[in-house]
This record gives sequence, structure tokens and C-alpha cells, in this order.
Amino acid sequence: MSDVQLVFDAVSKWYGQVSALTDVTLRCGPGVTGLVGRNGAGKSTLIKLAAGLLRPSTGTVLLGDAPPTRRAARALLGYCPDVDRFYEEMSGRAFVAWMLRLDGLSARAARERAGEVLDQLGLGAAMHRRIAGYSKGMRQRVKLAQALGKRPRVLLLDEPLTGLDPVARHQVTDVVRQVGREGACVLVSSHVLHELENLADAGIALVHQGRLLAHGGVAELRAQLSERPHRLRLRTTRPRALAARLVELDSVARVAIGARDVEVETRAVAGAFADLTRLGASGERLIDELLPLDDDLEAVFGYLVS
Amino acid sequence: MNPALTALVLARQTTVRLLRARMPWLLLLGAIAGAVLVALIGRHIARHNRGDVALGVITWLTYMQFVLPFCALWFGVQAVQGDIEDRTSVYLFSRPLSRPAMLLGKWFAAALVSALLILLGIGILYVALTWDRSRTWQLGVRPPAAMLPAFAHAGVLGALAYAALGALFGAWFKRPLIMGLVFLVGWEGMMANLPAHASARALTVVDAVRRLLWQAHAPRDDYAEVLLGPMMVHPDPNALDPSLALLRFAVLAGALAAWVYARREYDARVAE
Amino acid sequence: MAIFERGYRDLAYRPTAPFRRIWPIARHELAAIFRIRFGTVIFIVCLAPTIGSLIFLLASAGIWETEPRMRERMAGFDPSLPSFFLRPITSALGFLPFLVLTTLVSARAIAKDRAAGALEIYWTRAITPLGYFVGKVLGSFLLLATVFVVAPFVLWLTSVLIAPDWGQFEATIGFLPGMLLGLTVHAAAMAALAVGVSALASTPNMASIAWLFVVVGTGFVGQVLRRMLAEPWVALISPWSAAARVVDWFAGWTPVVSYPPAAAGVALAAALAAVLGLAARRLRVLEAVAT
Repeated sequence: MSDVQLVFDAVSKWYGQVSALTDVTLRCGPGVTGLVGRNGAGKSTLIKLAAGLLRPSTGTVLLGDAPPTRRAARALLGYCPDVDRFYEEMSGRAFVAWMLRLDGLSARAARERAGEVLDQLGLGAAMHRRIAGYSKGMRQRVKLAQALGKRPRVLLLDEPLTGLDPVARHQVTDVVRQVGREGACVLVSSHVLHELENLADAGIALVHQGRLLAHGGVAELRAQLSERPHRLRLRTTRPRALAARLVELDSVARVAIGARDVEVETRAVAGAFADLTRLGASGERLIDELLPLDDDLEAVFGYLVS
Repeated sequence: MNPALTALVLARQTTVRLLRARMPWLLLLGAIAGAVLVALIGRHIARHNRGDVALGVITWLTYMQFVLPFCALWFGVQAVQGDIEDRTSVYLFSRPLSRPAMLLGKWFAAALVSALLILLGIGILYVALTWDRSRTWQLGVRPPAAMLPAFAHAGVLGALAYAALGALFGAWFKRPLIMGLVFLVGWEGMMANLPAHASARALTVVDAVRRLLWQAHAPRDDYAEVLLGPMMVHPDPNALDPSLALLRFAVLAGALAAWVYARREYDARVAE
Repeated sequence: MAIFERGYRDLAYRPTAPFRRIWPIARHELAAIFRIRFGTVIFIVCLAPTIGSLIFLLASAGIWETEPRMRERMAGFDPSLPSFFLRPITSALGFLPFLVLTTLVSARAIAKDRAAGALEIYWTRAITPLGYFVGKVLGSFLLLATVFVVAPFVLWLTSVLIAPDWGQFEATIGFLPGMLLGLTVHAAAMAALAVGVSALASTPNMASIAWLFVVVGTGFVGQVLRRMLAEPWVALISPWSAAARVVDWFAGWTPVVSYPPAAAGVALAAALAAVLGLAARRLRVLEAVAT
């Protein structure tokens, strides 16, 4: 199975006079790419453009070799929308099987596959009940099942973790991660940043006010934010003594003393790590533990949009 | 999935969805209630009317002029816009399916359900009018069964045309019911009163349905009067055959609906 | 640890009287159509029959006095008769605007709240289902009254102002109060009926179609029965026909096809009682929330 890429090339989208996306260029390959941004940032528009539900006002969207508005391109696609809408009178299995039939599976194959994928997502016991009686988490999983069912080459998930309890969230992230590892191109938007951080092995795309602010791994993005000092927390039993040594280091810009720790700000993170490693390895045993405070997605997101 | 199969699968699913809704069953209930009323007051009706006139007037005024246009249009709108409004259409639009084929399937489903209801309704009405064989009709003329094929013919073709129009309005407008209302009450009401040779009459369904029944039934008395409408204009004998006119209307409206449905970005209506 | 004793206070305010809580609902309902451009256009289009009469009135100014035979030839267009003012409202000409306006606004008023789950929010406020219903009817009535009461009044005022003397005033002042009262009753009854139907339906589209059946469907059935039974008054099963006859009676005008006004009043009252009774059941707090 050859890799399929999802490509946005200088894409802009306007709704009347409102600009939803401006000049977005993004290339998503195999693995899971996370899409983060505030409400109204343009995430759903980006995903709908990828699903062929919208046409770009300018620029090109390609799913493999063709725009997703073409049927051939949509044959590669699995899409889990953000809306909580269903054919309520159907059972979970009937709904997923019906969707898989529309994907081109035979009636029997669709039924079997629907049962399989619902089982995988933890809905095995409830799949014969009407969707109208499902809880929010169950409905979310049915939505996901209809997208995952045909094992798409490109999987678009718009807020798939919303409404899921911790166990279901774990189940879903495992399944999505697995799909990405097997080589599918997965684009996931979410507000649950720390889970997206664990899930998005192919990088994060950060959208703000319709523009793509950054795209890459979290560490990579953090490293590029050179104007933002990195913050580290050093646990110690002798904070004052440690602080006295730290102020002598060129790589350290600022030091704050706590009761059992010292917070350090640095603009040269590689140099600081080298200096601190040396200091920790010295015979004084001044550092018990070193914790980076702002190299997670939440911090990067905060820095970029603030 | 090839377009023919897409249309077939969508037609089946839409038919099931439309029949699962309350509307068709309420209509059927209404038809049965109407038939019971007709059966109860049948003697009074027979005293004042010939059977052919009674069957013609009741069927024309209730089924052909009211139930057929309103229901077929409603089902056409529901079939196409129901999905868009509740946003389940995203599941269909993101699949490798041809949108014109999808619309075709939905349109046929709407026409099928409407036609079934009309045929069933007219059948029940006929039974209600004729079940009591001892009833004495004016001039001894009982409601003739020979009138039914023309009603069925007009009902099926009319359902196809009105459902196509409903599908078009559903695909095109944000408030298709209002546009449908304007078409049925305003446009058709106005056009039906134009001179018989006016070519604008071809832009209505009711004119072709009326001509079809006029040709088939050679109506008289009250039936002729209600069929002609308030202006009492006889249909133009040189106009296009009414069946062909209905088919032409249906195909044009259906094609336009498919074109609009294929091009529209329905998700752009919903703000993020 | 009693963290609930930290000084949380009620908001200090004096509750308004129950009837004053109805007004925001009515105002909201009245303004609903104008919040969208399409609605504003529809509203203006609904005024078209009256605007047409106004244009005719201005164009024919002076003719009635100089051409006495005009009154015989064009009796229906004579501004000294009630039919001139009622024609844009109660004839077939006024039926389409009425139908569009009520289907777009009144018949959807409660159904759209129910579909959106807003009834649950209303029911947890200090307003009763009756207050809510009255607010919706009032809003719809004010909207209908603008087109079907205020517009004919403006038409009458124009006819008086453009007349060369007090003749037009003297000829029309006799039936004007009755006519306006009749039109007000007509608008109020129709608003109550449409909002009542709206309370019965679960979705706005369903409500619209149910309303069409109530207004248009009964009209067709009335016609059928009138012809089949040779009894003209049977047409009064249509609330529209009944209300139109009530207006004519208030205005002291007898149209060509006429029904007994008392029968019309009874028919209209019966339709109102039936729909409002069912609506009252459907708007009970528990049922509305449960469904």
C-alpha cells in the first residue's frame, strides 16, 4: 500500500465576506497529525476542505493525486464529523453497515465489518440498540466507527475525543494511533491538547485566526520559539546554594527560589542542559530532579497564540 | 459505487426514512377519516350528484389539487433537505458517491411515497363511495371505475413532477417550504387563470394534470366547473400532450435539482 | 469546613409582574421575521395587495367624483365601500400573504422552540406555559395586525386625505370602526390558531405543513362538501372562510357568496377551542420537557 498524502497548497476560504482560512500550506503524510486551534480558528473548515465538503476559494487541496471533491479521491477517505447527528432510528451496527455499503462493501461484508469495528471501539454489546438511546460517548464511537470501518487511507477526525470518558478515550486513541502507525494519513483536531500531544506522532499543525501558525513536532516547535525563554524546575534540598551556583552560569537568564526548588529561565536551552548536567554530576549533589516546565503542547499553543 | 447503484440504494433508504416519519401515516389516517365521512354522508351526496361528478369533484379538489401537490412537494423537500438540515448529509457527501445519483434516488423515493399515498387514498375514496350498492345516484349514474386509471395516471406523473420540484427547492433554497407555498398558491394559482393558449401554463404542473383529466374524463356539471377553475377557460387542444408535458417538467426540474445539489457547498451555511 | 457560609448572596431585585414577563416573548416573536433579510423581503411582499390598492387609489384620485358611472362599473374598486379595504385582506388576493406570513412565523413559533430544546429553558424561568403561549400569540398577532389591520387603516386614511372634500370620510366613517374591529378579531383568531397548531407539532416543518392542512386543506374539503351537499354554509369548516365572514359582518358588508355570520362565529370559535384545548395539553410542563 503506497502512502497517500493530504496536501493544502496556499488554500484560502471565505464564507461571503468572512475569511475562515488564509493562505494555508500544509502537507500531511503517514501517521497522526494533530490540528489545534481555538474555537473559530478554522480547524473544521480545514477538515471539511479535506473531506471535499467545501471547495477552497483559492489554492488547491489534494487527497493523493486528486482534489477531494472528486469521487475517486473520496474513496480514500474516512471522515468523522464534529456534529452529533445520526439516523436516530437505526441501530449502531445498521448505521455503520449502511455507511460501509455506501463505501462500496457488499451487504454481508459491511455487516461483518461494522460489527468488528464497533467491537474494537468497545460498543460490541450495544451495537444492536437504536442510536437514539445511546449516550454521548457511544454516539461518538459510532461516528468514529463509520469513518474507520473501511480502513481509509486518509482519516479525518474532527474533535473525536469530545464527550468520551477516560476509558473510552484511551480505547479510541489506541485505535487511531494504530491506524497512523500502519501508514494511514490521519488528521485529528482536538481541544484536549495533552492527549493530542501523545497521539500526534507526525506533528502538530497550529491554526489561529484562519492562518497556519506552525507545523512540526512539539519539541521542534518549542525550540523554534527562541524569543520565549524556556523554563525549568530543579528540585533540591538546598535551594539557596543551588541558586548561587546557577547565577554564575552564562546560559541561565533568571532564577527564582522556592522552598524546595529553583525555577530557571534560559534562552540557550542546549547550553543550559549541558551546564545543569555538569552541575548535577558534580560532587555537591545540588540537583535531585530536573523538570522542563513549558515544552508541552499547551505551553507552545499558549505562546503562539498569545 | 456506480451511480445507478447509488441511486437505487439511496432511493431505498430514503423510502424507508420517509415511511418511518409520521407524515405518511397521518395522511393515510386523514384519507381513511375522509372516506368514513364520505361513506356516512354518501346518501346525501348521491341525492344531489351523479356518481361520475361526485367522484370527479372530490378527487380533483382534495387529492389532485391539494394532497398531491402539497405532499409530493413536501416529500421532495424532506428527502433532499432533511439530511442537509439535520446535517447527516456529511456522512453521504464525504463518501465516494455521485451527488446527482444521490438526488435521483431521493427524488424517486419521494415520488414513490407520494404516488402510493395518492393511489391508496383514491382507492379508499372509491370504495367509500361505492360500497353501498343500494344507494340511488342522481340519474342512476354510479361512480364509474373507468375513471380511476386516469386519476392514477395523473397521480403518478404529478407526483413525479411535484417531487422533482420539491427536490429542486430543497437543494436550492434555505426555506424551501415557503418557496413551495409561493409556487403552489401564488404561481400555479395565477398561471391557471391565464388564457388557455398562454405558454406560461407549461411552467405549472396543475395545468397538465387538469388537461390530462379533461381529455380522459370529458367532465360535466360541477366536475367540469371545478376542473376549469374560476376563469372557466377550456384547455388548449393544441398544447403538448399532458403526459409528455408532465414528464418534461419532471425531467427538467430533476436535472436542475441534480445540478444544484452537485455544486452546492451545504456546509458553508454552518458557521464553525 | 463550611465553605457554603462564605457569603453567597441572592441578587437583590424586585420581580416584575407576571404580565410584564410576557412582553419580551411577544417582542421577540414580532421581531423574528425581521432578523433575516429574507423575512423582511417576505413581509414587504405581503403588503403588496394593500400597496396595489394604494397605487390604484392614488392613480384614480378624482375619477370617482367626475365620472359617476365609475361607481356602477367598478363597484369592487370603489373606495367608499368596505369591499375596497377588505379585498386585499379577505379575498383570494390576500390569502397568499396571510398564508406565507402565518406559515413562516406563527405556525413555527412554538415548534421551533420545542425542536431547539428551548422550552426546557422557558419552563425553568418565572413564566407559566400560559404566559409563554400568550406572549407568542401576542407577538404573532402584532405582526399580522401590521399587515391586516394597520395597512387597511393607512389605506383608508389616504383615501380620506386625497379626497377633495369630506365626502369620502362621511361615506366610510360609518363602517370603519366595525371593519377595523373585525380585522383585529380576524388577526387575533388566526394568530391564536396558528400558534396553537405550532404547539402541537414537534418540528417547525411539521407545524408548517399541519397549518397548511388546517387552512388550505379545510378550504378544499369545505368546497367539496358545499358542492356535494348543495349546502353553502358547510364551507365554514375552513377557519379562514369563517374568519373572513366574521370580518364582513363586522364591516356591515354582504359578499356575493355569503354564509350566516352566527354560523361563521360558531365555526371559528369551535376551531379555536379545539386547537387551543389540544395545545394546552401539549404545553404542560412535564410533557414538554419529557418529549
